[in-house]
Amino acid sequence: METRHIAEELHLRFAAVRRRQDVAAILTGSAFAGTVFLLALLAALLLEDLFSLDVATRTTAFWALCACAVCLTAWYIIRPAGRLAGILPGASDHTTAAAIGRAIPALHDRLVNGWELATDETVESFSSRDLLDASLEDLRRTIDGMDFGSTVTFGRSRRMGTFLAVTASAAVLLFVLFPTSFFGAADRLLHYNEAFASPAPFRFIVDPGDKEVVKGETVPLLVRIEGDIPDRIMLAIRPSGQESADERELLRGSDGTFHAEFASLKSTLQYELHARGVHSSLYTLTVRDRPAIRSLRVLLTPPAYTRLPERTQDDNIGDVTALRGTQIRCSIESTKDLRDAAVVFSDSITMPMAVTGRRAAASFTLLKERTYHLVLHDSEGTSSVDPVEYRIQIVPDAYPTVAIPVPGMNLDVTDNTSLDMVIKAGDDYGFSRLVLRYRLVQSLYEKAGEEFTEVPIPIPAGTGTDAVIPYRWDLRNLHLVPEDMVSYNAEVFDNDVVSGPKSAISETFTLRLPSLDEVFADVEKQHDAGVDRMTEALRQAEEARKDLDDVRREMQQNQQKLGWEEKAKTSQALKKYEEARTAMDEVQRKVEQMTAEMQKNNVLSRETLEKYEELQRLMDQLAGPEFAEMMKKLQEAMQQMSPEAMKQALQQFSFSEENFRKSIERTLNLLKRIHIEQKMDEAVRRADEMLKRQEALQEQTKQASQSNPDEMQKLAQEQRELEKNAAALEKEVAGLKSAMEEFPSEMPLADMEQASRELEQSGLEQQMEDIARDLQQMQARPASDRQQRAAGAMKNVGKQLRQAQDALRQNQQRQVLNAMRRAMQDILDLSGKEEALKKETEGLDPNSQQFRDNASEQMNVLRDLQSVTQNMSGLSQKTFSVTPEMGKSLGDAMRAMSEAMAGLDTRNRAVASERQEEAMGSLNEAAQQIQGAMDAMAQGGGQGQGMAGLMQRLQRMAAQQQGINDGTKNSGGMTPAQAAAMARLAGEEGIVRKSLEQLAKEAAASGELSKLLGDLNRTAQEMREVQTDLAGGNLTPETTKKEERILSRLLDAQRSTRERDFENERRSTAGKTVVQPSPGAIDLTSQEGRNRLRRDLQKALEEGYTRDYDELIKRYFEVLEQYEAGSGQPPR
Amino acid sequence: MRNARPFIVVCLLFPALAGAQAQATSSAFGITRVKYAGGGDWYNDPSSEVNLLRFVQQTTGIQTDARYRFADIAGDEIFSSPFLFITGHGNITLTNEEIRRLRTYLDNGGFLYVDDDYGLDKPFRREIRKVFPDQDLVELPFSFGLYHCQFEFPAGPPKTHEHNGKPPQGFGLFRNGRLVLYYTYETNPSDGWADPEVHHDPEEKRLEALRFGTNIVVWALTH
Repeated sequence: METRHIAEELHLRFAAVRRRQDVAAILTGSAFAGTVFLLALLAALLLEDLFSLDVATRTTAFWALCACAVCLTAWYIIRPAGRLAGILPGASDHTTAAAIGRAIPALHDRLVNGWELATDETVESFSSRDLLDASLEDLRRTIDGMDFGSTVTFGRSRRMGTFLAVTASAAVLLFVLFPTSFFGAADRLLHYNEAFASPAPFRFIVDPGDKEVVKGETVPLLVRIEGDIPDRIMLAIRPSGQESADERELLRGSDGTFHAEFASLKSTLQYELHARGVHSSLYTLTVRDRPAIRSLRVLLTPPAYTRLPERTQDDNIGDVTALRGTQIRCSIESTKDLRDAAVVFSDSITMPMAVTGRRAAASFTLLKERTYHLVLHDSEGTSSVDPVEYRIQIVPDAYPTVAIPVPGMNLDVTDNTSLDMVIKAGDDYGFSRLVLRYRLVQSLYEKAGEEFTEVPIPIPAGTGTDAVIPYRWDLRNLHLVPEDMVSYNAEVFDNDVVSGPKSAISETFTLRLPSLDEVFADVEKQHDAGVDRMTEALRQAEEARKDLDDVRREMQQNQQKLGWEEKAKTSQALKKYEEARTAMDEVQRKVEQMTAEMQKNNVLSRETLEKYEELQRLMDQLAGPEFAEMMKKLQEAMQQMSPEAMKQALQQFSFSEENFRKSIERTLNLLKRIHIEQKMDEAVRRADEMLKRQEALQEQTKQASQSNPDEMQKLAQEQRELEKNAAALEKEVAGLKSAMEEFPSEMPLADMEQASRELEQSGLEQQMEDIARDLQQMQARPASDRQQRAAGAMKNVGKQLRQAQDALRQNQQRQVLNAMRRAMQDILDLSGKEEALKKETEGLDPNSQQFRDNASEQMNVLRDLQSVTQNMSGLSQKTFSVTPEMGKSLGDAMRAMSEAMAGLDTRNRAVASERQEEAMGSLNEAAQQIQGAMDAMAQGGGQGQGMAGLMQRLQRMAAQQQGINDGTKNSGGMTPAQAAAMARLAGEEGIVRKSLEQLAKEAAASGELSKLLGDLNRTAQEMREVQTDLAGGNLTPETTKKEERILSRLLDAQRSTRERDFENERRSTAGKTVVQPSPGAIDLTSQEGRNRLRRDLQKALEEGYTRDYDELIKRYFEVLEQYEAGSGQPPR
Repeated sequence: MRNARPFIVVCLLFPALAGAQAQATSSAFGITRVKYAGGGDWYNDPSSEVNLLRFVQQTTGIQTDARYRFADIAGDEIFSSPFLFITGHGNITLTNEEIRRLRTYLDNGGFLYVDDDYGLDKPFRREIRKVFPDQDLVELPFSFGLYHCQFEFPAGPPKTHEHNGKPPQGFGLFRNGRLVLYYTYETNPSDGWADPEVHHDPEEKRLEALRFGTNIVVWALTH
């Protein structure tokens, strides 16, 4: 090859090596420049961070860094790049060849030499061509296959790259670790021309900083300090709406942190921390409200059966106390819009509420007791907290109550058709059913029932929670026979449909149909006990009288001295009287009880009943207030130990005591007589009852089926019971006859004998025995025939007994009337004698000897009067018509006669004649009273006309009193005219008073006083006071009150007798609404002109015919009217 | 219209009373209890009319003289009263003179209200037949104005007191188309007018009775 060619080849190969060298230089230069720049930057930042360089230094540093960067880039990057790009001159081929020769030891200088030979133009001048060529050829062969590029390595570049990477990593690390410092420093360096304050020596790291919290939440505050940790820092808090902040100090904890707590935040606040002039940022804790219940309303709908209205509880009252089954509706309004709400019960059941905006509601039924609370979530999901736990309590629906206040006791019924009862039931919400339950518990003929039979009792519509239900129990279905006993009670069911009706049963009572024997035996027992007790009382009174007689006698013997012994005896006597009084009270009660029982059992005739009532009244007066007063006075005299007072008291007591004893005796005798009448009533009743039962048995026997042995046996048994009754009747009649024999003159012994004989001859017992046997042998027909005969015999016996009963009454009345008539005649005779004596006495000369004769005559009259009194006393043992008032009048007459006698003895004409006049007056009064009693007897029973008359007069008096009262009220101040009016009223009051006193007197005389309620004498006394007030013009409110009392008593006095008449019927029972159809429309035209006949009748009546004729005309027209109406016969 | 009723009643009242009360000292309306013979307690429950009159004044505005007044039919006082009242238990008897006077009273504008307090029915019917032999008492239909004139009584007379468990009835007697006598049987409103402590009636019963009594008064005064 030519030398030229070799040089070109080398040149090319040298250029490739140079390019490679430039690339390596760029890479290495870049890594180096980067490393240096980074180190310089870090150094600058470090300086800035540490020393907070001022603006000039920072500017210098900044620009130095920039210059550094430019230089490094220019030198280490741009320059090799310029060479690579061919812009800048690179190394020469020679240099390159030398560098290659150094890199390849095998070549060493050969390549430089070769390059010089190839390129030196002068070589040919000193060497041969060939040699040159051969040398070059040799060189060429040597370098052929050699890679000159490998002489350039990138090892340095890699090392520099490693430096750069390390430096960059260190820088990144520093920035990560101290971002604030390095970034701050970088920031300040970038803004080299701006002045920066010196950074704080520390800074606050605050947790939580800004935060949203729920109202009431407690927020902990943690402050960490970065930098120089101060010993204490201040926390400034500014609640929302507050101008100034509240500060407090926070102390450093052992770990260098600071803690605080924002407790139960209520409102939004801002806070910051500061220490040593360093302030943290201003943070905000934003408080958000929780949803809460603004209002709660609970609506209670009680179960329908209670008929109670809906009830809304007071606002915000969630506790519920209601009946089981009550529907509870809870409605709430929240403070915030709600997302959901629920009722949470204590038994873990949750019930969602229907939500609308801020409102929510839920309904549930009260079935058990528990508690509940409400949970709310607002639209942001914040839940309510601290819910109120409400209690649900069940008010128990009480059990109903039922009672049977009427009759309210076990009782014997006399009427086996019905029993009137009152059932009182109560329940808190009403009833659904009421039944009467009964069962037979005792019977002579049937087995006792085990199960109760129920009779539904209708509950009137509209009955509320308390019902008083009158019910008439029809006993006929029970087919009671004497001595059957039924127990019964009432069961009521309430209307609780939620828990099921509850029932209650009343107290169980028994109902018994007593046999007549029992009733009679009971009455007899009470009568005997009464008689015994009364006999005992009489004995005690007798003994007491003897004691007092002893005292009187001993006092006389001891010259009127009152010793211890007398005192003891008196005391003992008083005690005996007291015991006697108590005994009489007991007897009175017994008689009352006995009468009531007999009346109830309808075994007394009206006449006997009236006598028993009279007897009770008599017993009422037996030991009246007068006797008690006398006893009291005697007691006081005894205490005083004054012989004089004692003597006087004994004297006064003597009369009352005698009255008391005689009254007991009289009562006893009357009781015995009434008892005979009662026994007679009993016998009649028993005979009637037997007849009724016998006829009923006969009817049953006729209808009985002969093939039914049980029925026939039952009839036989009943017939035997009747047989026993027949025996009892026989015994009773015999006993009655014997009792009557004690009073042979008054009793119809012959009639009784006849009745007794009839009974014996009838052979009733035997007949009934035969009937019973026939029935047992199933022979109904003969039995029925015998029953008919037995019934006939019974009829006869009853008739005889009734005859005897009538005879008894007539006998008694006749005898009493005769005796009274005699007594009245005697009294009138005595009155006539007394009058004559009085006239004679009036005309006597004071020295006349006639005084003695007159005294003697007066003595005779007195003796006769004593005899009459004795007779009256005897009569009083037989009849009630002899009243205590008659006794008093006779007693007054006797006393006046005694005094008249004393007057005659002392020749005191005036006194004697005055007393004789008094005696005459008393005798006339007694005669009048006897006449009144006789009239009353003649009119039948002592009531009737007399009472009606009294009533009319009382009515008149009440009207007069009303007029006086009105007059008094109308008078105001006292003008002369009014004073005169008052005087007139006083006069009227006086008239009314006198009328009343007279009335009271008459009522007492006719035995009617006790029937008038109220104390007429006391009323008269008040009238007297009113009269005085009116007469004196002394009109006070008290006067008016007295007047009102007087009127009221006058009205009451009348009412009392009326109430007596109606006491069994009048009831103030509130009415129950009755639904009924309306009556038809009325036609007024036909109303008035309808009946021509009646108009004619009226005309006829107005003609003024006599009463009898009036009646006849009325009757005629009535028949005519019936005929015209088509329902009667034509009048004849 | 109902509110205007008391006013109308008062307007009508004055002419009605003008003749009847010529002798009265006051124009106020009063009730006169009739005192009768025979034994019935004509005087029972004297507080009845007093309470009714007070109630009438309160509820209708009619001026009343709330006093207990009574008079004999035989006396002239009855002609001073536009409204007589008979009640009681038991018997009532009228003399021929009383029958004549009562007929005159009723035929000349008077009004008689009779309330059977128990037991008065038979004797009263007997006696009133003597007063008006040509007329019967007729039971008033429930549509009759008396039951509606002031307070509504769609089912006729109320049952104030139980007597014999029968339905309450109101009977009337007409003269020249005018109701001159009204008689209540088995209802006994006048007991309901009495002071509460007398019969211990429930308050609603008393109120009902007083309302019914007001209707009788209003009807009597306006017809």
